[in-house]
Amino acid sequence: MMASATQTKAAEAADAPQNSAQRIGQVLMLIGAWPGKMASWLVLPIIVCVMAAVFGGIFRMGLLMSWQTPLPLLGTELRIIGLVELQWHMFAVMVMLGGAYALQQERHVRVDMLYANFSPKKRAALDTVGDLLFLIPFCLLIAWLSFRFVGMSFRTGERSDYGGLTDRYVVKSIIPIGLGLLALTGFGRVLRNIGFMLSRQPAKTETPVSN
Amino acid sequence: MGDYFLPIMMMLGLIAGIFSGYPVALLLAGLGVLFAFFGGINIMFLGTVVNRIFSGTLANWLLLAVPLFIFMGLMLEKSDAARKLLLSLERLFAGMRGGLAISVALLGIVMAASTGIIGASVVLLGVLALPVMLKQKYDKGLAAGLICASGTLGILIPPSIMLVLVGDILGISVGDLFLGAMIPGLILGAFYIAYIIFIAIFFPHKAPAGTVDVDDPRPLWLALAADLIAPVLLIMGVLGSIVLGIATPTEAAAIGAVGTLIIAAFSKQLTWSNLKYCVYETGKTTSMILWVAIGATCFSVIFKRIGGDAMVENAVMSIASGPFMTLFIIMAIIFLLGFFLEWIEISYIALPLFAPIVVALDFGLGLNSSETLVWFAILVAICLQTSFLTPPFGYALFYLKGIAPPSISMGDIYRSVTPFVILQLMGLAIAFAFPNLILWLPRLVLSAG
Repeated sequence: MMASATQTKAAEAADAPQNSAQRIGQVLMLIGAWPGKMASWLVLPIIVCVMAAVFGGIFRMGLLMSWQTPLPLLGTELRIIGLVELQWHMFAVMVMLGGAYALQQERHVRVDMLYANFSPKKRAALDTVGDLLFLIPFCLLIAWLSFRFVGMSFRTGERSDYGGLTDRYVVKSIIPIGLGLLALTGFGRVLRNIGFMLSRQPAKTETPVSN
Repeated sequence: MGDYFLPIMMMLGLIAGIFSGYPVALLLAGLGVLFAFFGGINIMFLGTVVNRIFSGTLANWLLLAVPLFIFMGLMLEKSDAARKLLLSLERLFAGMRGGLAISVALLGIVMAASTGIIGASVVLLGVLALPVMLKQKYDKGLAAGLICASGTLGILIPPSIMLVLVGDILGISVGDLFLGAMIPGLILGAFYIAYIIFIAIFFPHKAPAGTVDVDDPRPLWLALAADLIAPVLLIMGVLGSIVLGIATPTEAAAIGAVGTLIIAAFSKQLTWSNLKYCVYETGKTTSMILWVAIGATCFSVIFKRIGGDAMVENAVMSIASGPFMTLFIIMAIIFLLGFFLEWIEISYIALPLFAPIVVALDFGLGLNSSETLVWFAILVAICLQTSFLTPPFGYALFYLKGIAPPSISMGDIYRSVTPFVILQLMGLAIAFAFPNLILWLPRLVLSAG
């Protein structure tokens, strides 16, 4: 899919020459969104894990397997409860990384009653103000605060209260990572939009990079 | 007024921001941070937001049902099951005036019971049925309105993503909500069909009798049975397991996802490109929904901290007298919000504010607080389903416009839904007046279990 996204971009670039701010912005957005796009695939292992836990429950299997060398997250065994926790661990990754992906794909819901009638440059200006005023401060501030949250979890060796997974800080660290990627994508969008506003090309509706 | 200066400004900021067209999820998040700053709130207090995002949204096992139901709906859309079922239903009603329209309404109900997302249902029904209905000289208003309305049933009739989120926000059992939504959902479906019959009798030119040229060698009963079996098994697997208490909504959603994968494999639609489409769409849609939850978490933590909750409660209490009036006003507000906002935003912004008010009301009906909330939640759900149909921002209308032939204008679609919005309001009034219609099934299952 990266290939087709790049092709769309190339096609756009061919009929509307872009300045470097636009190009760099687009690349930053693609970099920020890519992990979220890949994380979409987690839906398949989530289905498998939920089904495995359902069958495990039916056959009343508490302990699924155990081994000698301690692994991160799992420790030395996998119990049903660990499998259940693994499900929301994957869900958390999918959601936190997906924020940037949805931004790059222009999928965050807008009430576009007025927005739809704005000129492309006015839209770009509005998004730029919003990204600088709302998106980026939120991401950076909350990401900074979440470092303490993750650090606390790491220092106290937080793990499941129910004998499930260990190393709770691993999943918690997806919060600053996801927010950082979202900020990066937002910053890329600001660059792209500023580049677009500065360009002298006639107003052309910017289309989100589709896949 | 003086006491409430900051919360009022925050509300106005929200309204202005929403209408500017900036993405609502990001606006909510940013307003929270901005007003924490204006309110002189210690920055460390925002650490609460991190905690709440983690424990309320990310580590929330119930919300796992959201991507699973989305995936299931998308896969079913790609599986071709609906097209086959529509053809068989058409044959069943061939020669009957309004028969095709009734087929569409029935297909809407079956699809609603097998998936939980409306974009998919409206687009699917529109692609399948609209060209056929227009070819058979159906009134385009009737055709468009019916497709929009039947498509939106998916969000009310369980399994429904909306009910999963609402149950999570209000802290009530999603199983009870699923049970509670069944009878109102079927009543609405019955209203649509009654309306079609009414039109077919009094305005026969709007709903002509159709002819079907299907070259299907199978006898009708066999075709119908064969095409119904997959959806029926799916509905039984997903809903049955929740209703019987065997599976949680999340587990049922996974069962449904596997079921649709099997259905798609049998109809040879489980291709790499279909799978890729479903996976990426699931990722985008899930993120879109849950980032509203994340943004609303940040907004509401700060809104509460600066006294917004008390403000809303005082405002509702000061204009309302009596419990039914209060509930009526809250429903009216939600209905009005539905003209501009999507159900996701309404659920996350308005419900947490209104729920404590509703729980505190004594309707004199002998309902306990969880029953009151189930009743309230279903009323809200019907209201939000209706909001998909109300111009100017009914999303169902946009979805349909996206796939309708150019001969159908946005104005046509706006007009076409009017009778169906009236039917919806009738259904809402009935559910408002007779809470037992909603509470009967959950109670029955509770007493049986």
